Amino acid sequence: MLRWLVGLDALVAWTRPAWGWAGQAALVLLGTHLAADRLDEILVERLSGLPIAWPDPDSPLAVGTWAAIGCEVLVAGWAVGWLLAARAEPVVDLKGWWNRISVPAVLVPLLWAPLALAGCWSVAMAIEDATSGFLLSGARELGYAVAGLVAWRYGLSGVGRVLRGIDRPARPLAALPGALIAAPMAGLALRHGLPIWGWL
Amino acid sequence: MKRSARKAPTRRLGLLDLPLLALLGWVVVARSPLGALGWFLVDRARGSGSELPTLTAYFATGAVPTPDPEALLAVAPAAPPPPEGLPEPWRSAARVVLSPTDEQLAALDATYGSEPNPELALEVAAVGRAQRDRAVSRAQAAGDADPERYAVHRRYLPVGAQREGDRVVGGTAALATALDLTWPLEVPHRVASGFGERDHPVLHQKKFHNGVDLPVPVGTPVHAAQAARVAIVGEDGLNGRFAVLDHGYGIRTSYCHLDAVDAPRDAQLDRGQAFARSGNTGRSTGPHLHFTLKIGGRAVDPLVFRR
Repeated sequence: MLRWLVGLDALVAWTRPAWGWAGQAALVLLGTHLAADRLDEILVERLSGLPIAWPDPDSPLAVGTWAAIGCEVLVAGWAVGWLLAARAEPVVDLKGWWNRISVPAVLVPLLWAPLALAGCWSVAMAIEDATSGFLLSGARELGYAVAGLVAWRYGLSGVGRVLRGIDRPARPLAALPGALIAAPMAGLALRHGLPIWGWL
Repeated sequence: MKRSARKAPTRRLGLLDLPLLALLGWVVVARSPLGALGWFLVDRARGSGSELPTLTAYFATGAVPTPDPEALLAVAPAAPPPPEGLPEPWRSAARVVLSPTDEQLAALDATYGSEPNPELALEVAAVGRAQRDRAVSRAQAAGDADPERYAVHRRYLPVGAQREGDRVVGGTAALATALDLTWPLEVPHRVASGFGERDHPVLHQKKFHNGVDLPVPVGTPVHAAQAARVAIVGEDGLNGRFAVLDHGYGIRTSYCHLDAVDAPRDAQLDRGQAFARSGNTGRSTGPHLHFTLKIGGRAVDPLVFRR
């Protein structure tokens, strides 16, 4: 039985290159949305303060919300795009990485990590909400445990993939335009997407 | 370029990763705009579709469904609330939004009696105490200021609970705030032009009038219709000098064609506090105050809420 399970496990793992990226992408999508939800509020607040003759006094609300949605789509596309661009068989030592260091090889993992971490908290909350109805206690702990597993299997592997798998691009500053939007979003994910700030 | 001889990815833990992938897919559907789109489609299929665009509805902070003024007028006068029950105008608003049975109203009163916070009583009625406590604790963990407030912790509720919370807490609070508005002018005046379709006095064509025109002499004090933050102070060719007050819960009032606004942006105003003087600026045919009331971003007739 155990041999059979080990064999099945290996078979499923063998197919991982076909679907593993989807989990990594899902995680970063969740984190990006958590950040965009905050960006929405900030944009509305800032736009309301601008000396602009809006067609309607409530226009900043609509403009801010749609701008946040636009940023979410752009950053999610940027993060997933670089994930897919990263090679599946990456370099694993520091010297190899240093030999092909580039702007995206540094920026992308740096901004990817907070978005993925925020995504993990989304997973923890979803598990807690789904199980608290029938678990008398421990739903929160279960949520964090599953989020930990997700962070290990998809967060860490996703960050590892963009850290080690991005080749030097033809255009040296290839990731920079996207990073200009992704950086504030990653900052928001770091500030609002981790359940630690209230306890620090 | 130097590469490791080790094979990547590893050939194990596939039976862990695959269920985790399914789980991630489910969370994306439940907690992202994709999920909101799903809820929207389910609503539509049931024939009770929201009129708000799905994505913006998902994002809007404290999104508030606009109460129907007709429904408000149709509610019979309530019996006086019990001494420790949900007070007016929350009680009337809850009756419009919730259409509660006597038992539900008694439960609301009981929750309010143990903790006299109308927002809390409504949220407990809508999503349950446990769900609310989880959301508050997450807002605390994230370091949010004022985590007990529904508008702050609502983002930590699951999508379905968030929608129900917005409907019950947001809708009732908005209506209660609107029912408690005071009139912006203390001097006698008439209503020169009402809310709705009208012949525009300058453009001479049918236009929708999103507020009421109240003719008063230039310099007449204008009062805040409810406790508020001054959200916008501006000036343009159409509205002249204007101010927008944010009363919370998606309620905003606008005051246009002003001569002067004496309160700066972000100033906190008390209910009835004078903060501006009426004028004749912008596209205007004579001195008057153009007063607009918006609930959840939609203009409603302020006269319906005049008490």
